[in-house]
Amino acid sequence: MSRPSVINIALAVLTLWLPRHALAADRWAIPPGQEAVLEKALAPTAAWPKGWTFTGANIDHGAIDARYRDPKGLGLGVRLQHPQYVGGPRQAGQFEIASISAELPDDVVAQIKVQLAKVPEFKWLPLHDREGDAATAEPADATGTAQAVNGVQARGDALIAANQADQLLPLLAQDKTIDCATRQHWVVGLIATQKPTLFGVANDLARQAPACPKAQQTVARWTATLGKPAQGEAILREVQQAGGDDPLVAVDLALLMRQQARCGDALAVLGKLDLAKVPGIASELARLSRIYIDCPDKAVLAAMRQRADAAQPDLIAAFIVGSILHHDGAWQESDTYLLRAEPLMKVEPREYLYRAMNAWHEGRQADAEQLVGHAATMGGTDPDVLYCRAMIFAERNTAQAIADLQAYDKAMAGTLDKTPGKQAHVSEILAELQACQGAKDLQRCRQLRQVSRFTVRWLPALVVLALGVFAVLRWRRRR
Amino acid sequence: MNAATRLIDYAGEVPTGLAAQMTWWSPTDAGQFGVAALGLLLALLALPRVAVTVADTLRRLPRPYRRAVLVALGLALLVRLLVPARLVLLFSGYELVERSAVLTGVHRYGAGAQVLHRLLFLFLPPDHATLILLHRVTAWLALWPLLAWFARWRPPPRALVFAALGLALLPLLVRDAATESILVPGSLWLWSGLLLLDAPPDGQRAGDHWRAMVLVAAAALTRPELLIVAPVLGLLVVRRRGVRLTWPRAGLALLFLVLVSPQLWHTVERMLQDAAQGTNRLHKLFPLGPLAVVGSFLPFWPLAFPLAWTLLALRSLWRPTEQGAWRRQLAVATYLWVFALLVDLPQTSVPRLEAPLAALWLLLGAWQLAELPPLTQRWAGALVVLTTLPTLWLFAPTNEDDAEHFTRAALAQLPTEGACLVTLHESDPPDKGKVQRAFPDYLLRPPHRTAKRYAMAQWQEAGAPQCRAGTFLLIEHRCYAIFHHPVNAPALLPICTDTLAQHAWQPVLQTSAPNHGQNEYGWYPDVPAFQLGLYRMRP
Repeated sequence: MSRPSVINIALAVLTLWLPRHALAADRWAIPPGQEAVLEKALAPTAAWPKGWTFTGANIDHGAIDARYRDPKGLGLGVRLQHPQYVGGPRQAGQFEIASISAELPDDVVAQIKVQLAKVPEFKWLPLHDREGDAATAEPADATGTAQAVNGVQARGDALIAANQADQLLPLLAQDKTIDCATRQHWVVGLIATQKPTLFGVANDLARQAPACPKAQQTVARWTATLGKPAQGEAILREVQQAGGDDPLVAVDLALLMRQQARCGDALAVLGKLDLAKVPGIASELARLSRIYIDCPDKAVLAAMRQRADAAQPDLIAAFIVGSILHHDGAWQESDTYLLRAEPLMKVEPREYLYRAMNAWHEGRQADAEQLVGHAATMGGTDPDVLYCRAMIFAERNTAQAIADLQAYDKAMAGTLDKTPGKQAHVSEILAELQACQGAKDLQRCRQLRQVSRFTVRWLPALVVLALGVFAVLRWRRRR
Repeated sequence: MNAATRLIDYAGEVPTGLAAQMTWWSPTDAGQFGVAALGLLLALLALPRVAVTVADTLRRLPRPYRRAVLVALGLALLVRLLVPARLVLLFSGYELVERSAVLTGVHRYGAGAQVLHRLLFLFLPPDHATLILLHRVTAWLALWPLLAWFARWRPPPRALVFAALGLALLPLLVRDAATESILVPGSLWLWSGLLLLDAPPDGQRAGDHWRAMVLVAAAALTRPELLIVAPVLGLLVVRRRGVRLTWPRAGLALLFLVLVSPQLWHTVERMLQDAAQGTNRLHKLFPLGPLAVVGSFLPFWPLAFPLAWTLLALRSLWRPTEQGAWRRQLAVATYLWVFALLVDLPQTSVPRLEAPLAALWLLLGAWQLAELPPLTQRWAGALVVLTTLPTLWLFAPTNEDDAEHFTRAALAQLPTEGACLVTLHESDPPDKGKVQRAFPDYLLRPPHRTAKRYAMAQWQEAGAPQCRAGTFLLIEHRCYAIFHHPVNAPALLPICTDTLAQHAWQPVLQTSAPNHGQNEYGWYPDVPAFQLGLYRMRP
C-alpha cells in the first residue's frame, strides 16, 4: 500500500474540519465525500507548466483554500467560493475564484479554471439559517471527532456519497456507539443531496431511539422546503412532547404553521414565547418577522408598537414593527423603528435591506445604494439581497440588475419560500429590464413598453372595431 | 493586477428592445420613424388591392401569353430563390442591418427601409441573411405590378412575354434580388403605386388614388433619389391619363408632401452636410451632371446591362406616336433618376442603384422587340441572349464575398456565450479613409450568440483582457485594406500584425482566400491570396 500523500493528509484534515468550519461559515457548506473530486480538480496535470506542486487545501468559512508551490519554491494560493452570482467573470464551473495570489501566472490560473469547470457535480449545501444550522450540525465534542477518526462517520458519508443512504439505518442498528452528533451530521449530508426520496431515511435516523432532537429539528426544517409542513409540525410536536423546551423548536413550529396558512396558531405559539430568550434572535428575527408580516393582526401590532415605543424600547418589537410597516408601505415610519432596532440587528442584512428599500421608495437613491451595498457585503445567501439590489440599481446598472434578478430566480427555484405575486413581479421586472437594456432613459423605456404592451393587447379589438365601423359606413352609404 | 481581475465580463448594453431604442430617438427621428411606420402600414394595407389589379390585368391577356408570362414569373421566383446571396455594399450592408436591428437613429438614406427591416427583425433574428430572404421575395413580388403596369401602356401581348422573360432572367436583376439593396422593397412600393395610379378611368376603383399616393410615398421614403423620381414618374402617369386636378386630388398631393417632408428635410440636411465636408458631389452636379449621367447610365454599361436591350429601347424612342412620346418621357425620367443619383454615385453602386431604371429600359426594349418583324425579332432575340452573356460577370466572386463567408464561418466557431472577439475596428489605426470597417455585431448578440467585440487597439490598451469563454482574434480582408493601398505598404495592417504577434494565439480556423482583384477604392494589396484566420488566445 502506498504512503498517503500530502494532499490526502490535507484533505483528511479538511474532512475532519468540514462540519465545524463549513457550517459555521458563509451560509454555504461543503458536504463530505467530495475530497477526491476536489483533489482531482486542484492537482496539477500534464497540461500545467513544469515544476508546480499542490501542497494542500483547507476549508475556511465555506471557502476552499488551495495552496501551490511554484518551480522556485514560492507558496501561492487560490481561494474558491460558491458561485453565488452565477455567470460572473470569475466563475469556473460550480466555483467562483474569490481571490488568487498576485504572482500566480495567468496560464496556471487558466488551467485551474479549466479543471474546475470540468468538475461534473459538486454539492454545496445552502444554509438558510446560519446560527440554527451551525448549532444543530456541529459535532462539537470530542466524541464526534473521535468517531470520525475511527471511521464510522466517514463510512456513513461514503454511503451517502455512493447513493446507498438506506444502509445508514442498519449501520446505526449495528453500532450503538453512534451518537446524536454523528446522526445529525448524516442528516445534513442527506439534505445536501437534495433528494426528497431520502426524507424517510433522514427522519428514521433522527427518530431512532434514543431520539435525537437536534436531528429531528433539522429534518422538520427540511419539510418546509419539501412542501410537507404538516409532517414537520408533527415531528416538532414529538420533540416538544419528549421534553424539548428549545425556543427554536417553537419558532420552527410557528413557521411551519404559517406555511399552512394557520396564522392564528402561529401567532399564538409566538405569543407564548419570550423572544428575548430565543438563541440568536437577531438571525431568527429575519425569519420570524415573516409570520407577523404575513399574518396581519392589529392587536399584535399595537402591542408591539407599545413595547417598541417604551422608554426602554424593546428592540425585537421595534424590528418587527419596522418590518410590518415596511411591507405596508409606510417607509418613513418603518425607518424610525428599524433604526431603533439597529443595535440588535446590526449583524443582519435584512435590517439594512428594509431600510435600503425604504430609502429607495422615498427617492433617497444614494442612501439606498449605500444601505443595500452594506447588506450585500455582510454575506449570506438571502436572495432578497439580490432582489433589492436589482431594484435599487436597475437604472444605474441595468446589466448588474438583470444578473441579480436572474440569480434571485435561480436561488428561489425549487424553494417554497416564495409568493406567486412576487415571483410574477420579478419575472415582469426582469423582462422589462432585459427589454430596456441599453436604453438612454430607463423610466421612459418602461413607460413606452407599457404603452406598447397595452397597444398590442388591444390591437385586435381596435382592428375589429375599425373594420366594423368601416362596414357600417359602407352599408349606410349604399343604402 | 492579478489574473482574476483581468478577466472581463460581457454585459451587452446595446438597446435591442424597441422600447429601449425609442428612448434614443430625437424628436425628428421619432417623426421620421413614425411617418415611415405609418407609410409602411398603409402600403401593406394597399397591397391586396394591388394584387387584385395585377390579377385583373393579367387575366385580360390572351391565354397563351398569360400562361407564358406566368411561367416566366415562376422561373423568376425559382432563380431568385436559388441565386446565392451576396452583400454588394462593400461591407456597408453590415452597418445597414445593424442600424435597423438597433434602431436608435435614422439612417442616412432615410427611415423607410429601416422600419421595414425592423419589422422583419421583430419576427426573425437580425441577420443580413434574413434581410436578403425578404428581398428575394419582395424583388419577385415587385415584378408583378411592374409587368401589370407595363400592360397598361398597351404594348402588344408578345411584349409582355418578352418583358417577363427578360425581367425573370436578367442577371442584373437576379443578382440584385439576393442582396441587401434597399431599393428592392422600394421598387415593390413604386411599381405598385404607379400601377394603381395608371388605371384607365373605367377600371378605377374608389380609393385607388389614395392607395397609389401611399405606395408612392412609401417608395419615396426608402431612398433619397426616390423622393424625386417617384413623384416625377407619378406626375408623368397622371399627365398621361389626363387626370384633372380636383380638390380631393390636391388634398392627396398635399398629404403626399406631408408624408415625405420629414424624409425630404433629412435628405437635404444630410446632403448639405456631406457637401460641406466634401464627401459628395453636390457642388459639381450642375456644371458636370448632364454629361456625367452618360458615363454612369447603367443602360450604357454593356457589362451590366445587355447591349441589345439598350439598342432596342433606344430604337423604341423613335416613334412619332403618342406611345412614342410616353416612352421618351420615361427615358427622360430615367435620365433624371441618374442625375439625382450623381450627388453621391460611386461606380461600384451603379448596378445596384440603377437596377430599377434598368428594368424600365428592359420594358422599353421588350416593347420594341415585340414590334419588330418576325425574322428580325428572332435575330434581335438571339442578340439579346448573346449580349446578356457578358453581364454574367456580375456574378464573379469578389474579395468582399469571401470576407463575408469567412466571417460567418468564423463566428460559427465562437462559443454561444461569454466569448470576446477582437477585430479591426473603425477606431483602429491607420485612419480608415474610405475603407468600410463595419462588422455584423448583430451576429454577436442573442439569439445568435452572446459575445463582446473589441477593437484591436482598445483591447491592447486595456491590457489584453480575457473573457471567460475565450478570447478570439479575427483576421479577415479588412486587415489588408487601406484606402488606395500604397504599393510599398505591408499587405497586412501593422495593428493586425502586432495583435497577432504580441500574444499567444492558437488557430481555430485558417484559410487562404484568393485575391479577386481591386475594388473602386483600391483597398487591397497586390498579393495573390489573403491569409485569413480566427485565433483563440492560449489560456
